[in-house]
Amino acid sequence: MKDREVYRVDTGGLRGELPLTNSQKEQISEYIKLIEAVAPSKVGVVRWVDDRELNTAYSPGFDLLNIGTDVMPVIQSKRQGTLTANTRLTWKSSIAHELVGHREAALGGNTQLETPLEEAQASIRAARFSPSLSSTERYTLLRDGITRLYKADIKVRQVKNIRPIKSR
Amino acid sequence: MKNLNYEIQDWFEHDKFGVIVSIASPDLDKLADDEIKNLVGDRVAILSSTSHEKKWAKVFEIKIANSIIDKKNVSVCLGNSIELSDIKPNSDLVLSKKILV
Repeated sequence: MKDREVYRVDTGGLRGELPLTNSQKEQISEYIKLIEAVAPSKVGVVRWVDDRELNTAYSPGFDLLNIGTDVMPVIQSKRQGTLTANTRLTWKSSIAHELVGHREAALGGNTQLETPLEEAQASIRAARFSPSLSSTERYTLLRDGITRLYKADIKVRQVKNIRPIKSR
Repeated sequence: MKNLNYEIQDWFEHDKFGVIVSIASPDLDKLADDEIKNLVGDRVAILSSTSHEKKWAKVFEIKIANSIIDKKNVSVCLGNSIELSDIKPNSDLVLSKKILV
C-alpha cells in the first residue's frame, strides 16, 4: 500500500527530484518579480508543488504557475553520457520558459496549437527575451527549442519568421 | 465501468474560477489532452482516504499543462460546486469513466 505521507516526484532522472530549499524559493520568487516587472500583468497564481507529484508547468487558462522539484536541473553526476538540452536547463531558464515563453505568448494570443511547436516557441522566446540569463542559458534554451522542432520533424526555416519569436 | 482514482496533489481557491484541484500521473502522461478531458468528464467525486466520505462535484473546466520534460499537470476547475474545506489532505479525485486501454 502506498505511503501517503511520502511524496516523491519521479522525473525519470531527467530533472531535479529534491524539495526546494527556502533559499532556492527566494531566488525563484525574485526572478519571477523581475520577469513580471516588464510583463503585461503579474502571474495570477503561483503554487509551490515541490513536496508533491506535480511538475513545473504553466497553465494559461487559470494563469497558474506550478513550481516543482523539476524546476532544477538534474545533478550531472547521477547521469551518464551527454545530457539533453531540456535536462540541462537551469531553474532560471525553466521559469523563463514558462513565463516569457508560454505565459506571455498566451497573453498575446500567440499560443501554438501543436504541443511541440508551442514548447519550441517557449524555449526560443525565453532564450531571446528573458532578463538576466547568461549566454550559456540562452544557448541551451535555443538548443532545447531546436531539438523539439527536430523531433517533431519541423524545419527551423518553417518557423523562423513566426511573430511570437520576433518580439516579446 | 471502472472507477479511476487519482490522488489530489494540490487544491486551492482561485479568485475567478473557484476551487481548482490538480492531479498528475504517469498514466495520464501517456494520454492526449482530449483523452484526458474525456476521461475526467463533467462530474467527479472527492474521496477522503481517511473517512472514506465521497463528495460529488461538477467539472467546469479542465486545463492540462506540459512540463519541460513533457509530463502533464491536470488542473480541474470545480468552481463553487464544492467547498475548499470539503477537500481533506490525502483525498482522491474519482473519475467515473470507462477506461480505454
